Amino acid sequence: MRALSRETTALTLLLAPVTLFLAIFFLIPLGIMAVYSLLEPGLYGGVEWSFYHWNYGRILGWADGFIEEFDIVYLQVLGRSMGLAALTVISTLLICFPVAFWISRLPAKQKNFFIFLITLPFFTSMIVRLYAWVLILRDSGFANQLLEWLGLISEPLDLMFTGTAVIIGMVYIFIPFMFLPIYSSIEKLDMSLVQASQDLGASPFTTFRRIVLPSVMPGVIAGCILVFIPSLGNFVVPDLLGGARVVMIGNLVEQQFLYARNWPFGAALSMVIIAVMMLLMAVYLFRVVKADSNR
Amino acid sequence: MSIAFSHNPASDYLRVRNAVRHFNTPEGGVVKALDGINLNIGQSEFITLLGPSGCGKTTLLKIIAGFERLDSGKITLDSQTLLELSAHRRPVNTVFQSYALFPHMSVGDNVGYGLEVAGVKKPERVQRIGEALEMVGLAGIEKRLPSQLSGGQQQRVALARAIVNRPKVLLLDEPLSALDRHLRMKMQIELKNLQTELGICFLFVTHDQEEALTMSDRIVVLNGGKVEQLGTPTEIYHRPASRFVADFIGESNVFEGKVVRFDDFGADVQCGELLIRTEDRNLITGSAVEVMLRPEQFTLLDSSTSAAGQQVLTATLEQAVFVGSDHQLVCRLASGQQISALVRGHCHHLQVGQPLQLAYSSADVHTIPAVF
Amino acid sequence: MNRSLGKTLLTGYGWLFFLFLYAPVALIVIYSFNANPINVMTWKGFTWDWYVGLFGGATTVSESSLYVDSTDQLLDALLTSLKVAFSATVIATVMGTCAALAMARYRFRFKGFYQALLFVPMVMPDIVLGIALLIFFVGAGISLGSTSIVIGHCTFLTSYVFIVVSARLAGMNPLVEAASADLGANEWVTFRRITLPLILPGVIGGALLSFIISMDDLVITYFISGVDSTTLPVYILSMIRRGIKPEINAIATLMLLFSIAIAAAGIYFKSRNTAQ
Repeated sequence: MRALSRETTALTLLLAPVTLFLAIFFLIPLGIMAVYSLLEPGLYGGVEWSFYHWNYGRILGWADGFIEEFDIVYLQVLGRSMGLAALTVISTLLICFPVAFWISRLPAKQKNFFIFLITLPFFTSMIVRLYAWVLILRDSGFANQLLEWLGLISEPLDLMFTGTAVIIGMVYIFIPFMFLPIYSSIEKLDMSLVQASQDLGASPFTTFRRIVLPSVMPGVIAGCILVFIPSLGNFVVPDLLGGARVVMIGNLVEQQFLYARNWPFGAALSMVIIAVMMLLMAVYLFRVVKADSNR
Repeated sequence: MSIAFSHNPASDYLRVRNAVRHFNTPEGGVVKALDGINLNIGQSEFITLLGPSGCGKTTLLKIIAGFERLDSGKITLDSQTLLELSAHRRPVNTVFQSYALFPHMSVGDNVGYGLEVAGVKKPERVQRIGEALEMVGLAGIEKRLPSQLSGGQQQRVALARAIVNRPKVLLLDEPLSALDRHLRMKMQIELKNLQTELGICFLFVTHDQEEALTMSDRIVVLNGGKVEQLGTPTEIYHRPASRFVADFIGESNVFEGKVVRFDDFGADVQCGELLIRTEDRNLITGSAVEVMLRPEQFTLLDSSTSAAGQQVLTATLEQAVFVGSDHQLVCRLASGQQISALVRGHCHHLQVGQPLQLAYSSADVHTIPAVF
Repeated sequence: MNRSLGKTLLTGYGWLFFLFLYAPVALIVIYSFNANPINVMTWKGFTWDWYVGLFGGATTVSESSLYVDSTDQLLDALLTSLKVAFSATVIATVMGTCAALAMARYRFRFKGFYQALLFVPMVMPDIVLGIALLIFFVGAGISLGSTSIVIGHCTFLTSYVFIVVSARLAGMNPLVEAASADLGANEWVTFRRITLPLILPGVIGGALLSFIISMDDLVITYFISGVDSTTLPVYILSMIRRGIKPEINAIATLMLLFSIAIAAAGIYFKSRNTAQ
């Protein structure tokens, strides 16, 4: 019995700091935010302590009964955010898959070096990496200068402050998140299965569809979720590369908190982001983790 | 179940009394890892805990080492109750299956760890590390790291690390299972010699019956958390206490039957159409028994040999396999039961389907009380 | 399809991929030496001026085109970043390591809950965490500043340390701890002599990762940094928002060097340990 209580003491001591810390500074703040999203915004910032569901109504376009007309502007922003995030996911996936496949077939030494090269950006400042694209895409930027020098254009193109610019920026900073899960699932793929499939007469396409795809699917799904979630809530990339023309839900949240001072509405918008995140996590847990444990 | 009584007066050095340990499985069931174990073990015995995986042998070892608790029961070592002591206070040491050497410490530091923790001063420590390594045949490798050693060497370091502390009992958890067959057989002999030299109790866990028969003073056969039999290797082999032991140790031919007649010299057991004579004098008419014969207890009769004083079975040859010095014959009796016989010498003339005369001595026939 | 052609195409594609990954960053480094003070991306000769200017040295450029308001502000931001990263790393490393030890070595109820609790902060979009903390700090009357940033960073850094140390613990033979106890060492001696040395590379790796992520964090810090505690990334964001000037290139280049140095240190530690 004594040994048991000692064990409990040790466990308590080990878990106490992280439990207290995350309860106070993570769970409680999220709870307060959820509560805020249901409170009435005060006239000059702050909140009125009364239940108010119009924060969510407003996101869906309903007028709050007093001032606004029916307006789907927020739904549009939400839709645009989803669309841009989805395009970012597709782009990173298309870029990363062949590269991951290529690297997985290289000798170990080169492999490790290339993996290092792909993870290195993860360790370098995100703002610096985004800044590089500001330098490239703006009117007097590198891209326009290069195209002009090549004689392809005479007037600078409008590259900045477009949806494309935002997608490029997000693809650039989220590539490692897509690459690593895909790569590790391709690494795990048993190449003898591919050979067996070819040996049994399957075409390369059939082999890919029936053998390769099912076993790399968990990695692909994980990568997609890991890219989609931060893309959806991003506000730095649209801020720098999208400007006022490409507003995403993250910019909207920022505005509510730092300029419009409508915290409850901002909180409601955040709750929408959380809801999407939880939905995706649930999909991941039920589809991928379950499939994995059944194997 | 049956507990063999040992005549060794010092055999209550390590005592296990009614040890019970049940585990709950994730599916909601209960695994009876130990289901009332009783053992008396002597001060300088080489004891092997033998059984199939899941029989509770490793659990018992872990409980003695202090890594696992007991639901109920009592364990004493040298008249001292063990269970109240946490693992680090127990006067026992373990050689782990995976060796569990400290990868970040040199061989010398590994071996000296227990001494250092116990506060043994450096000069003495260095000397004892040297002695221990010498005992296991690895003198002078103190400076090397475990990762620079072969599996066999790591195994010896693990052994040295345990014996250097002069434990009252050395616990060995399948320490030879990772070695190749040749090295394993060499280590079996070395371990036995080491134990004799040290004169301390070795408690050795294995699922390999050959290993158990080679090294042990006595063997504890465990099954389903219970002691099936405790006895010397010869007792276990020739006088198995249960059908399980008979099947688990070596190969055996077992016939189920009923005693039809007994006299002062033995009994006749009717096994289907077969009447088997045994010299077991503890049988009474009508009792259900199982009769066991080892394959090597049969001899093959041919025209030139006579069956004087022997019992004879007639069987049809189904397969003959050459296994080095002997032939293993798989035969079928008229009743349909398959039996196995190990016979010396040339058998090239034998043909599948041919009837054989297999002789055995009634003195070799061992009976096991049948359990229903 | 022609096998070798496919292979060549794939290799070419791979090199394009790395060009895409590294060329933009290389541009920053190259143009940080561009002498053109007005159009940053039009090459006008080599200069060290922007670096010299960053450290308050005399430059050939007129003061008005120098963009950093004052060197002090930049150094202040850098100092805040370092202070925050250091404190947050220490706290997160202790908490994350303890959590990893508890999860790896003990059986207890709520294990699944802790698994989720330590996972969610990493995937939570940082803007959500940022505003949740902002609402909390304002509501609780905690003034925004270095302390609030350290707290904010610890909420997600702990998870990174937890992951790295857990991986290390998973690769460790748990029986070595049992062996230590078996040889007479109590829990504390076992931890100090066996467990800690064996997980130390993971702890150091987790700490380095924490330090880099903390130095780099923009979004959460953006919401919970007070008026007079700006970190380097937030400062750079405000610089870029106000317009592109050559000093940013120089700062960005220095930051790249810094992160690569830390990443190299991390890899050095890792390789040194696997060599053992």
